[in-house]
Amino acid sequence: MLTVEKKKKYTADDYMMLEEGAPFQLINYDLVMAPSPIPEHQVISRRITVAMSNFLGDKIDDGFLVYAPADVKFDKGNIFQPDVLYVTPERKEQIVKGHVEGAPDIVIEILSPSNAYYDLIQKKDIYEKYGVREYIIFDPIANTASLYALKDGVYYLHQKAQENELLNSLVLAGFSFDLGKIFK
Amino acid sequence: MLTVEKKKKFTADDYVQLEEGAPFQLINYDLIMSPSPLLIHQLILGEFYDALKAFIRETGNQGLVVLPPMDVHFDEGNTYQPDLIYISKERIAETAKDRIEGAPDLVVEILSPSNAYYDLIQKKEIYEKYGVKEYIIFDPIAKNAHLYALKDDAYYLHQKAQKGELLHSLILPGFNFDLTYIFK
Repeated sequence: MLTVEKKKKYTADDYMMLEEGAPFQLINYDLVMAPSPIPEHQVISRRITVAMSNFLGDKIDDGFLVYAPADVKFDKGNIFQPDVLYVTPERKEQIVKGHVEGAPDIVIEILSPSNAYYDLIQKKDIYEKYGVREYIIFDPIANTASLYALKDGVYYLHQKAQENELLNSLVLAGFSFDLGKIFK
Repeated sequence: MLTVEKKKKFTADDYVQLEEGAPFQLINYDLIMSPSPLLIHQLILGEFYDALKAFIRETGNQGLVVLPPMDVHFDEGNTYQPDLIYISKERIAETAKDRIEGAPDLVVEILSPSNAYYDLIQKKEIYEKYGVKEYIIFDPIAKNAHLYALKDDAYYLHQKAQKGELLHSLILPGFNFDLTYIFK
């Protein structure tokens, strides 16, 4: 019979005790250490945020757009630091407190091979469960981006864009991510 | 402009020069190093191999079931060491040489968070491209298994089995792996 040692369960309270800036996320009651991102990861994150910010810039209320590190608390066992997140003006007051509590409208993750597992599986399940309407995964190795949209509480792959194509947001109607510019 | 030092492209010839037993795979012209798998990974592999071998013997199947490490050579940029492979009798002559050339009929991978990226994305695309008929992914953290089957040259998710369920093979009809052996 297969037996493995019982792992300690960490909770939101434990997470909040960590030193500010400690590179962890709380994923399924586990403290998962994030490796320091490679410079390319940070450049892609910046290009994404700048493109979204430029699009939102003309609007009277542009909602809440931030990039990591920013804690998003989903429940007692899950506090993540998505690479980029956006909350619409209508929901800003409801979920943006000292930190973000609840599902942003858009979450963007940029894969790195060493921890893609979490972005592709565990975090995706939580984003789906708590109702993140649009979940975009950028893959800087394959130069692709996948957009998952919520429908009846479940994600479906709405679009997978290849290198040099445009990925069209559903939540930010009219906005597209230009992969040619993001991955150049 | 973002410039990164041009990475050397490694090929099958480079790979074959490595010391036998060196813990690498050649994935998309890149040498990817893996540390030893975790204990749970090896325990799952053992249970699955055991069950599959029993089925093979009982049914008089004359295919090959091979444990790792075993190089499976796909093309110039891709030589993998899957966790477990099965080759049907009809395809032994074509694929089973000193090592394996071309697509096994069945490939099994057991995820570990540190390199799930490759199993879920790059290797899956190569398995699909070269015609691995059945691709099973075990996830020891989520305690589930995904079975992808080839249809019109593309994978579709044929079954997602949870803890407590049976995983049903398509290419080995009658082989039903009880996940209770591995997920408590």
